[in-house]
Parts: sequence; structure tokens; C-alpha cells
Amino acid sequence: MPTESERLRRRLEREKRAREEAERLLEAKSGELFDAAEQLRVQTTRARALAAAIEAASDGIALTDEAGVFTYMNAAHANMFGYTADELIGQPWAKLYTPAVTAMIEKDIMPGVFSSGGWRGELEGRARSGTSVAQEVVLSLRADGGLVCATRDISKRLARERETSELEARLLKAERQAALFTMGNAMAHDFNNLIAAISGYAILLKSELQEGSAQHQRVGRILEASEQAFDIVRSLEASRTEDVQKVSDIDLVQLLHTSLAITEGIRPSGIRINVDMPATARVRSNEVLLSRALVNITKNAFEAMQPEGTLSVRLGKEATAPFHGKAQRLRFGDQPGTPDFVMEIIDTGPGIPPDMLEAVFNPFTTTKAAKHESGLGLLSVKALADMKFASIELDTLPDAGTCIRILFFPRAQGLAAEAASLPFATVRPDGQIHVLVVDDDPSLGEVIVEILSRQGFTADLETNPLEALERIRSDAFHHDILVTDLTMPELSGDLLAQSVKQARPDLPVILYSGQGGYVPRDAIFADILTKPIPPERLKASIEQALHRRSLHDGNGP
Amino acid sequence: MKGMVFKFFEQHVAARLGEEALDDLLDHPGLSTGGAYTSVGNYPTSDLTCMVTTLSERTGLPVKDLLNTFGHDLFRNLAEGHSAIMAKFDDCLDMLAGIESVIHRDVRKLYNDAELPRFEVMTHERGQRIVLVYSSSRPFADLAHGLIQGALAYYGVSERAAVTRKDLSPDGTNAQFDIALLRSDAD
Repeated sequence: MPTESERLRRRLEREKRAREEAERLLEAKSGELFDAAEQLRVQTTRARALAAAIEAASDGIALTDEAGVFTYMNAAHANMFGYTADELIGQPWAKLYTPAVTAMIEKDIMPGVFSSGGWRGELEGRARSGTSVAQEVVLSLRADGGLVCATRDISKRLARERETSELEARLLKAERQAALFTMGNAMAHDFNNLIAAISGYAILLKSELQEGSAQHQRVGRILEASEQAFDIVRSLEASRTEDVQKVSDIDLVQLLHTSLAITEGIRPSGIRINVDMPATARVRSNEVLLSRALVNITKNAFEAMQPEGTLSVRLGKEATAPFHGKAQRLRFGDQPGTPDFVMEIIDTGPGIPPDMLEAVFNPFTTTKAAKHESGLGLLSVKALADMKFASIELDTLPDAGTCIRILFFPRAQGLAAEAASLPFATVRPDGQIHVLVVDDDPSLGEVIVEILSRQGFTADLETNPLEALERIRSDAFHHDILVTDLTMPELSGDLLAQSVKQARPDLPVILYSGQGGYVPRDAIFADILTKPIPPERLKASIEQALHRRSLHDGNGP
Repeated sequence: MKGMVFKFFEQHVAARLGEEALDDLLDHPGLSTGGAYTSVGNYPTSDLTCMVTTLSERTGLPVKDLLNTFGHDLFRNLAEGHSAIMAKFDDCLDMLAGIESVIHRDVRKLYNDAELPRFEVMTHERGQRIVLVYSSSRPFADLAHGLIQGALAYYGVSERAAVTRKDLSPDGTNAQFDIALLRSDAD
């Protein structure tokens, strides 16, 4: 049995151990509290940063409670619908939707949210103003039955997609129109030649028949029918040629900006655009052809470079050498003098293979992958040269890129209009005027020769323009005037005229064409006629040309 | 087990059997701490079991009765020390129904490492009857029984209360308590 003092001693020892234990626990707990406070401070800082990020996020974020009432909303979410966050917190989510959309969400979407824990899709919300808000929405179910809603306004994206789709449709339509235009020109040309031959021979035959006879009347019917056929072809041509023949003052800088804006919707995100242009650059050209060409050059460059690259657009007084003189060059529409402006559109694509270079401006030719449309776009670029609105150069270097250069020269006034105002001309004193007719279609050529012969001219036909050129070079002064068709396979009428002028600068050249589209408007022509050519119009044109030459030579009346 | 329970047990033994009996009990060589406990520490349940068993041997009282009596006093001490929590309840059955949802929730705020028994409410007829199922890793169904009786006494309804206990396991870790209150004259 322990004594009282022994018991007290033991109790004291127990109390001492208990106190020491309590102090140790207190110290440990104090350390834990400090750690917890520190952790809380870090978490609070992190939570505040997160809250600030959510508040500043461009995407909308909102929380609802179990009853579907907003308990939190960031500014982006509220602004998307034209409200402030304070105005929507405490309101049900249905406030942001029409009754029909609300019913659809409750019926079709919410059951899935509660069963799978989330939903993602697109919805049409309703802004405070009553306008619709196209939104992409992600809903997540929280443990307490409330929702986290992340949303993004996709109105602009949808509008951009629509614009891109419309633009692509417009470009496709333009390309189809260009193809039809080319085909139509070729057909018009051929039809005009045939009809011209028919009507020409009919005129000759009619003159040989007795007036008032049955045969005379029947040939008259043939001529009437021919004239109707010409009218049909002319009406078809008129609708196609009106836009592409009009010349107007154009600010190239503005046109380039517009073209880049149009193609912005189809620019792959990996392609950058560098622009180097003066404040303004005015030229006289055809706006329809030029804008179509710029859009197509840009579109082709995007497709060649995708997914990434750089498109450099430059406008200045002189050409640059983007490939340091190593590139292959293709050139159309040489013009004399110094260009007013040089526009260069340079891509960093794979370049054009050498064997494709000659064909790149032909219809239905493409250097791109098969999935893309054929390269009709460059046809409108070549048309600028064909119509003498500009000269075109194409520089390309494999694995480096392609530069399409458009050179704008000062436009000369056509002489055809001027000639119309001249007084009636006299012919040469001996009465013999030698006309060289050049047409690859013998039937039509022979008709013209026959008509000219009956009008008192001495006319020769040459069906090969190269041989015609050779005849003029070898006997420069045998002919007094050259009458030539435009479209011929060996050498076109305008190039024949240019070559002839080198040998005989004074030789008048009259050009005729059944092609209503790309008729050159060049000062070297004494007149430009359109098939069918009435015999009187042809005679007058020849006499006016000779009259003007005689005035120029100082032999005037 | 929380040191607070040990401290209440020391107070209970000292009050019922005297300081000497407590000193003798705390001198028992089987105790892991040498008999030194603080209310903020955590100690093995086996220490409490050892003390109750030793006390039973020394006094000749059954362990069951000792735990029951301790539970009775323990409830009063806990209630007096945590009056703010007790103020949340209207009556005894309301308090018993809120052991899990209110009391243990508050206990975990203070002692997040506390290993608490579960008191699952099977039936609750407000003001009349409640059926609770006690389950614990410790064999203290008798202690729980004492706590319930202490609660009835604290609210002054012992005399009109009928507690029916049904042991759900032989080791005292699971038991069902059906507590019914007879209507008082005031009702």
C-alpha cells in the first residue's frame, strides 16, 4: 500500500508528463496551424488570380444553383447578352432564351446533362435588345446539382463562314463565267466567219442575178437570214463584252485593299500578308478585269502556299527581283515606254513547274492539287494584256515562289475614233489600190477579196499570216493597205500588224474580228471592224485610211 | 481516442470512487502513457478498455455497468462544455437525430482526426420516437447506451422515456436503440 506522499509524488509525475505532452502537442498544433494558414494564403492568392482570370476571360462563364438561378457570371457572359453581371445574378438561365429554345433545352439537353454530367453544342440565345446571340455552350454538372456554363459568342464566326461560303460561290461563278466567256468568244468567232462567208457569197450572187427574179428574191432571203444570225451573235457578245471593255480611272491602292479584304475570309491562318504601297496610284484601266484578276491571283497564291507562307503585295514605279534573277519568266502584252506603276504579288509557294509554265494561263490548267478548282483565274490576268490594259509578267522559281507582275502603261488614244471624223479620202492617181487580205478562213477571205475586187480594188488573199508577213517584207511597197482578221492560229492579227509596221511603218492596217471580247484597242490600227463587214463600210474604211496616210505624207487634196 | 474522453473518465472515477482509486488505476503498468493524459492528445482505445476492466476487477462491478454509468456522466460533461452546440436543438429526440448531421460535423471542425462512431437515424417521429443504430470500430455499445440515458436525463425526460436496446453484434460494436417518449402532462 503506497503512502500518501508516495501517491502524491506519482500524481505529480503524471501531471508533469501530461503537461510536457500537452506542450509538445501544442507546439505541433501551432506548427500545423502556421502551415495551414500559409497554405490558405497561397490558395487564396491562387483563387483570387483564378477569379480575376475568369472575370477577364473573353469567354463567358457562369454558375447556376440547383434551381437554375445564376449565382455567378463574368462580365464577358453578361456583355454577350447586353446585360451587366449584377443584372443577371439571381435570375434564372431561361431569361437568356426564347420560350421555344428554353423548352428545347429542358426537354432535349438537360436530361443528358444530368445523366452524363455535361453537354456541348450550339444554341441561339436572346440578348436584352431582342436580337439573337449565336453561342457555343459547354455545360458541366456540379456535385451540388448546379451547373457551370462556359459560352462563346460565335455570331462573328458564323458570319465569317457565311461570307467565305458566299465569296467562294461568287468566285466559282466568276470562274465559270470566264470559261463560258472564252468558249462563247471562240464560238462567236467561228459562227461569224461562217455567216460572213454565207452572206458575202450571197451578196455576190445577188448582184449577178436579175433584179425581181425569183432567184434574186431567194438570195435576198438568204441575206436577211444571215443578218438575223449576225444579230443573234451580236446580242450575245454585247452582254459579255460591255463590262470588260469599259475604261475608267482606278485607284490601284484602293482596289488592292478591296481585293485583299474580299479574300481575307479564305486566307489560311498560317499565311501572312506584307503590303508595300504608296498612298494612292491612279491608272486608267478596266475595273472588272483588274479586280477579278487580283482576287484570283490572291486566291491562287493562298492555295499554292497553304498551310503557311507569306504573300507580299507591292506597288511602285519599278519592278523588283524577288528571286534574284534566277526565276523563269513568262510575259504577255509588251508595251512601249516606261510603266506608270508596277504591281507585284509575290507568294512563297512551291513555284510553277517549268513544263507547266506555258500552259498556266490557258483555261482549265492548274498546277495545284486535284482537289482544287482548275486555274481559270489566270485567264482574267492574261485578259488584261490581251485588252492592252496592262502588261503581265510571271516570274517563278521552284521551291521559292511565284511573282505575278502587272505593269500599267500610259494609255494612248485609239485612232479608230479619230479616223471616223476625217473627210472622205481620195484614192491614188492611177486608181489601182492594192489590198492584201489576210484570213485563215479561205471562204471568208475569198468573199472579202471578191467584194473588194468588185469595188475596184486589186485584192490578194493570204491565208497564212506568217507568209503574208513574208510577202510584205520581200515586196514592201506592193500593197497599199493590209486588211487582216484578228484570231489566227499561226499569228494573231495584232501581232502581224506590229511586225508589219517594223517593215512598213506607213502601211495602214485594218483589223476585223468576229470576237467581241478581247479586241485590241491599239493605235497602230487605222480602223477596227466587226464581222459581218458591210461592203460599203469596208470600202469607206479603206478610203479613209488611205486619205489619212496621204495627209500624213503631205499628198493631201 | 481523444484525450478529452480520458480526462472525463478520470473525473468520473475520482468523483465516484475517490482520488485514491483514480491514482491506483493510473498506476496500472498496462497503460501506454504511464497514466498521463491531456485533453488535446490522442490515446489508444486499449488504455480505456484496460482501465475499465481493471476498475471492474477492483470494484466487482460489471464492465457493462461501469461503461453505462460513465456514458451517462460523459454526456452531461460534453453538453455543459459545448452549450452553443446544444442550443441548436429543440428537444432530446431532435438532438439525438442530429448527432451525425450537426454534432459530429462540428466535432470534425475542431478535431479533423477524430474517429467518431456513427449514429444512423432509422426512424424519427418528432417528439415521440427515434430509432438509432450505433456502429463503431470500438466495442462501446454500453457507453453509447449510457450516453443516450445521459441525454434523456439532461433534457429531464428520463422518467417518461423507454429505451429498447437490441445488440446487432456480440462484441458491442453494433446496436440499435429504440427510444420512445410517453406524452407528458404538459403535452
